[in-house]
Amino acid sequence: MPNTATPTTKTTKEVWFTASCTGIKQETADTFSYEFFPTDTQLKSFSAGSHLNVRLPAGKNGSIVNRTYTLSSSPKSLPKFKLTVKQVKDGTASNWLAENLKPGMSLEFTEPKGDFILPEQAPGRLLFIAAGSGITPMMSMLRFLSETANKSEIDFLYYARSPEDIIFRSELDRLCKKMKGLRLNYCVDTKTPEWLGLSGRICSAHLAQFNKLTQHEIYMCGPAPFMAAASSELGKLSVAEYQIHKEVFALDLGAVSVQTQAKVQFGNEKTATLVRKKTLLEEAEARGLELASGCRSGICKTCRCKKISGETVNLLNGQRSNKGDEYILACVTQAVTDTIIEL
Amino acid sequence: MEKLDTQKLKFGEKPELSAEQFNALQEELDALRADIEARIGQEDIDHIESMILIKDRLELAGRLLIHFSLDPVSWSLGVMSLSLSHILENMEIGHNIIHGQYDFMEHPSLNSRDYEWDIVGTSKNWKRAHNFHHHAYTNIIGKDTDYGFGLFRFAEDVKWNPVHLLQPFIIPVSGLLFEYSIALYDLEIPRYILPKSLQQEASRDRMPVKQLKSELLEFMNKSNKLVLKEFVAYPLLAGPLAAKVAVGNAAARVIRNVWAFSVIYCGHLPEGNYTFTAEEAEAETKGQWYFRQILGSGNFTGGLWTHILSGHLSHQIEHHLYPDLPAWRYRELGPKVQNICERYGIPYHTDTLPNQIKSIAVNVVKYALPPTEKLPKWLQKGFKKGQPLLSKLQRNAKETLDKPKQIIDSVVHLGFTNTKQEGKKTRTNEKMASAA
Repeated sequence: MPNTATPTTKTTKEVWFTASCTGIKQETADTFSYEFFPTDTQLKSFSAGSHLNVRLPAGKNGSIVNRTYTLSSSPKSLPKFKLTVKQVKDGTASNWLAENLKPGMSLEFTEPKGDFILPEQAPGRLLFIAAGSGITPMMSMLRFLSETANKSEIDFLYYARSPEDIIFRSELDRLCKKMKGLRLNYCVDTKTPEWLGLSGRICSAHLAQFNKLTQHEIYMCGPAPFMAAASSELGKLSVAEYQIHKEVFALDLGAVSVQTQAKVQFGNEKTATLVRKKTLLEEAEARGLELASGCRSGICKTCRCKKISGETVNLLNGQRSNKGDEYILACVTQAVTDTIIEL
Repeated sequence: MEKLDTQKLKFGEKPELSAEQFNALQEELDALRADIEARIGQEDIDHIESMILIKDRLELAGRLLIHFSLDPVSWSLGVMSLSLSHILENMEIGHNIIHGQYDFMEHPSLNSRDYEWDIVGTSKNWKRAHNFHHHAYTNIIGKDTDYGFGLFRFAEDVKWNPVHLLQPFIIPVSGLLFEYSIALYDLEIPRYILPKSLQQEASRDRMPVKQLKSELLEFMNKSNKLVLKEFVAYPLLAGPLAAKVAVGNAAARVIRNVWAFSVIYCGHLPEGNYTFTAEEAEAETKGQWYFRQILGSGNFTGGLWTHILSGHLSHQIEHHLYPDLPAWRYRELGPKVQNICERYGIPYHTDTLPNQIKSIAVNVVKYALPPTEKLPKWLQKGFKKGQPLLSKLQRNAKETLDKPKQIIDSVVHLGFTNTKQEGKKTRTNEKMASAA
């Protein structure tokens, strides 16, 4: 290995704190808000829209799994903070939370961080576009803005399956009365007879109602296919890329396919073994190796690790890494040729 | 002086604008900026170069007159000329260049990074204190250090402390030595000396002591060189008449200090300028930021040379909206900004310089005294008994303050203005704009 100075911060060491669950609120049929109170630290203030990692004993035989969730509460409600989680079919963590977490139980968390946040000077015109549980960062931002002197014009376009699936609906309606500049637009998949609002998938007709769209700062959050559709519709309305802030939830890497017959060697392993799983993170887990991870979708950077040799591909952006020493995100990276990863 | 209707304009009674109005306000003010930006060029270069030329000539004339004068008249003319040169250098040239107003020239020295002005404090310290703590946090009590680190009290929102009784004495002295006051202020020295309980800014981090030491050293180096030049080198050239030169040089600097002090105090502290709490500015939009800059600043009227010698800080409102546009353009922007403010019902605070100075002088005394209702009961009783005496004192103070006003009036209008403008008071908060 070349004797050049290697960065000492291989992976930023996560500092964990403990917080006890102080309340659970059912928001919709499959969505719950969990309120926590840190018991061994004072949480520093965070920017609305940030996410954190949590360790849950949700795996097989109570083994620990790591997940990343966005805080839905405002930084102003610290020391308490809230996570809002929608149950995913067969989802390990979301179902464990819904079924097992009770007030009084403690979990471990990392400090909130993230770059899906409002700038220092609040934008005068904001457009929030969210679908499903993608509402959580927007809720944190709205709650925060409603508690400040902010006077932004805010348009909120929210997609849910049915009127009953609109998370935070009553609170949003309350906020709308309080914040003169906030305009809500709910849009549902399945219309009920009494539903008068928008319906259907995101389309230019939904977006065309907003004046001066090119002067908005746009925040989007939701599942990957929804985000792709929203981006393309916004593009048609000549919205620039730099106006858009994105946070992808529920990443679907199945769409990306790279044919390989690569062997991977992790850390202390003596030999390279043929890869059976898609991502390096899944592969490491299948081999029983401990690799820190969080969001499993390339957002939280917890799984950042060093590749010593070989070629890999980032499944999110298709970027190849074929130089020697390079840092990769294991959760969204696939090996293309024989690869050695330092753990 | 006609009493300003401060009750109507007090804290908490700022005009209410909707989100749409704030955005429309921002667009109008942005458009004014874009209009000027499109025209920046040769005219601005000509302006700053002619200012530097005038400054150089005034300095040469001043130094020669002070050096060769044998009578009080030519010596005084020399002092006047040298002080005018100092004033031009500090206000119209230094302040504006360090703000980056002439960075577009890509000049090797007339730029915000390299220009070092002729006062004892370093440009570096001033830039940090001024551009960040003052321009970003304008008039936010507890963040804008222009509100005096707790040593001074210029607004109701600052908690009274017995130390404030001293401000009517400290402030005028700090004006005579203004360049030193500014240097100490930029280094945030009061924050290291004053008790924490007094400081409004206590929550903000201080500079580490090690950095403070190195910056103090830089300041000492610079100020020592200036002192050597002004009070040792130039006087020595005059041989036996050294004292005359030293006194002349000192007088020129003191005149500059007092002028700069008056102009700067007029920018934000006259009665009728608004203060803000950190909460009022939290998550503000650019439109709201503009709004705060307008409400927190005050202009003064005058002729061409009043504007130039104040570095166009006579247009403090425009300066706070567009700190990096060449300042002489504020003269064109002023009426346009005022027109916008009228349409949105935003008070645009402007008055004559003597009136603004008087208003500050009254405030310095008024806020030095404790608010009686907040005192313990036994003291309140004492104050009740002493009330007639107190009002008499306040009346006397007012009358005394009227005298310098007459003097300033004559100096300003004879010396610095082309056209005498009568005390015009413009306050435009009567009606909320029907701009919506």
